[in-house]
Amino acid sequence: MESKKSNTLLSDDLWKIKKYTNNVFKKVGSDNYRQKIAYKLLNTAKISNQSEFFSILLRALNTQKTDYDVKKLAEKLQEIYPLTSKNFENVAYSIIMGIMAVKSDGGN
Amino acid sequence: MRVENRENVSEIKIKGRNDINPEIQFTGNWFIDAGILGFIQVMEDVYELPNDINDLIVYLNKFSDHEIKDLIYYAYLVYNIKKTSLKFLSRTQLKKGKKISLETNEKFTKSKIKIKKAINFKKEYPNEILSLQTDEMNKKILNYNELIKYEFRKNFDLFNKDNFLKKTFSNNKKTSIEKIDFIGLIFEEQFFQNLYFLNTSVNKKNNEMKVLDIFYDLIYNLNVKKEDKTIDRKIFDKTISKFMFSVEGFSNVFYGKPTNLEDLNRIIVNPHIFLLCFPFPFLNISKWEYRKNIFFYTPNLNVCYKINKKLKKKIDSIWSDTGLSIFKLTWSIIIDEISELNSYFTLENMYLIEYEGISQQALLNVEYVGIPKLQATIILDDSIRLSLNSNLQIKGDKTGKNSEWVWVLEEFIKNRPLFIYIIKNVILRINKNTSQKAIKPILYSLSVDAKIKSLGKNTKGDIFSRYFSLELEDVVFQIKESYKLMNLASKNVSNLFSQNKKEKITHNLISAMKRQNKHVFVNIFLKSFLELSQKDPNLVKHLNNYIFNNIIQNEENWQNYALAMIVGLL
Repeated sequence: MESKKSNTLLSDDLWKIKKYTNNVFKKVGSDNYRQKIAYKLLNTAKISNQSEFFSILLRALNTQKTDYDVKKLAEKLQEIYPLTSKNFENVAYSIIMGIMAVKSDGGN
Repeated sequence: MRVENRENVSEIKIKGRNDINPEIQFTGNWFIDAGILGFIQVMEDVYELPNDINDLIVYLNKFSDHEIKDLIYYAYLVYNIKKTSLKFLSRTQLKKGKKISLETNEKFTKSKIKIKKAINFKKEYPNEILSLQTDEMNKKILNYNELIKYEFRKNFDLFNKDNFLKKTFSNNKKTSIEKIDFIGLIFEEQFFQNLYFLNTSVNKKNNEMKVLDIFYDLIYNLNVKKEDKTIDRKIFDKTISKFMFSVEGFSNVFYGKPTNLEDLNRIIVNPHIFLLCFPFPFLNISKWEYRKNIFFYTPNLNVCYKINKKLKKKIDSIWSDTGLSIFKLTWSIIIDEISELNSYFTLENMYLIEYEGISQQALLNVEYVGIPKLQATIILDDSIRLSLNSNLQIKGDKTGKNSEWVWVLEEFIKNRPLFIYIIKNVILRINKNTSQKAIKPILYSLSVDAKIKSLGKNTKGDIFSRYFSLELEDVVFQIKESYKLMNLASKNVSNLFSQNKKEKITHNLISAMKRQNKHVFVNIFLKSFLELSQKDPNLVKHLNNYIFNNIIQNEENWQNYALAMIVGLL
C-alpha cells in the first residue's frame, strides 16, 4: 500500500522535476555547457551512480542557489529523497530531459 | 396399426402445447439451435422450399406439430440414406496395382457417376409427402434404399468379380458391395451409434422394416431407449447426444430425476427432432492430418444460417486449392459478414464450436472459441480491422525457407499478446530477413496491444469490470490516438537520423528492449540526440516529450511506445 502511494507521488513529481530543471537551466550556461552536462549525467545515470549524478547536478545549481526555480527543485529533490534505484533512474532521466529541452524551448 | 399409433401420439397433450405450431426459431441455447439449423438443412435438401431464409422459416412455421413430424420422418431417413450412400461411394476405390488398365479405371469412374446420379433425388413437395400414409412413406423410403443398392451392385459387380474393388469398409475387411449387402437401411451416422435402430445388429439386411418401426417410435413417441422397466425410454442422455453422460454408465451424475425429452419442451417443441439434426450443420474438414468438424454459432438464426452457408461454399471452393489456414478462412468470412451488419452484439456472441472426430463413442477435442466483448468492439472499426488483418513473418528469411507467419487478427481474437510477434517481425526487418515493409499494421498492433495491456492492469482482480466499463466505448478512440502518437514519433525518428546512425543504434536499442531495460533504451536515444550535429529542434522537442510521457512515466506498456520509435529506424 505504501509503495503504491510513493509510486503515484513520484509519477506526479517527475513532471515537476523536469519543469523546474528546464526553468533553471534556461538561465545557466551556454548550449555547449548544457550539452556537456547532459552527456555527463547520461553517463552516470547509465551506471546508476546516484552520488556522482547529484554531485554534478548540485555543482551546476550552486551558482544559482538564490534562484526561485533552484529552490523549488532542491525542495522537490529533498522531498523524494532517498530514492530506490528504479526511482532514481526515473528522476535522473526527467532531469536530463529537462536540461535537453532547454534549447528547443528557446533558452539562452 | 401404424396410423393408429400416430393418432394416439397426437392425443398426448405435451404440457398444453400440443396444438400450438412448433415455432422454428433460435432459443439462445447453442445446442438446440445447432439442431434447428441442421433441421433446416435436412428440409432444404429433401423438399422444394422457399429460397429466402425468412420466407422459409415462415413457411415451415405454418405446419402443425404433427405435420412437422411427418415431414421430418421421411426427410431424415432419405437425407441420411443419401448422405451415407455418397460417403460409401467416395470411399469405394480400385486396388492400386499394375493389373488395372486405364480402360478399367475409366469405366470405374463412369460407374461412379451413374451411381451418383441415382443417389441424387429430385426434391419433393411437402404437401405430396403429407398426403401419404405412413406405409406409403415407408415404401417410398425403402424403394429409394433398394434403388441405390441395386445401382451399387449393377455398376460395381464387374469390378468386384475381377477382385478389383478395394476393401475399405469395416476395418478394411469389406468392399462396398459386401457392405451394401450387409446393411439394411444405408444409414450410418457416427454421432448416433448409440441409437438402437442404427446398431449394426438391428440395421442389417432384411431387417429394414424393424429399423423403420424403431425410428417411428422415436419420432412420434420420443422413445429413445429400448423397452426396459428400469430406464425412462424418453431419457435425454448420451444415446441421443454425444455431449451428455450415459444414464447407465454414470448413474450417480443424475442426483435427482434424470432429464427426459419431454422436459426439454420448456425450451422447444419436439426437441428430439432437433437433437437428431445436431451433427448436420457441422462442416467436416479434413486435409492430410488435419481433421475438424466446425460450426459457427450466433444467436441470430438469419446470420447464423447465412454465415454457415457461405462458409460451406468457400471451404469447398477455396480451401482445397490454397491451403489457407482454416481459422483464417472461417473468421475472415465471419468478420466480413458481421462488420457489414456492424453489430458487435452478434460478434461477441459468436462461437466457433469444433470437434476433431468421434472415437469409441466419445467426442475428441471439443473446443469453443468466442470473441470477447473488448475484441469485438475493436474489430468493428474499419481501419483497425484492416490493419490487423495482415500476416506478419516471425521466423525464417527472405527466401521463405523455414519461415513462420502469424495472422495478427487471429492472435488478437484469441486474446494473445501481439507484442511478441511484432518484435520478432521488427528484428527480421532489421536483419533484412523479410521483404515486408508496411508499417501501419505494426503500429496499429502495437497501439491495440498497449491498450489491452493497460485495461488488463486497471481491472486487476476485478473480473467483470472489463465487461461493464463505460470506458470500453472510448477504447477505439484511444487506440487511434495512440496510433497517431506512435506514427508521428516513428516518422520523426526516421527524419532525425542519418541512415548510418540508424544502423549504428538499432541493435543496441533492440537489445535494451529485449532486456526490458527502459532506462538503457532512453539513454541510447538521448545520447544520440546530443551527438547530432545538425538537428531540427522541433523534432527533438517532440521526441523528448514523447519519451518523457510515454516511456519514462509509463510502467505498463512503455515497450510498445519504444518499439514504435525503433520502427522509425527501419
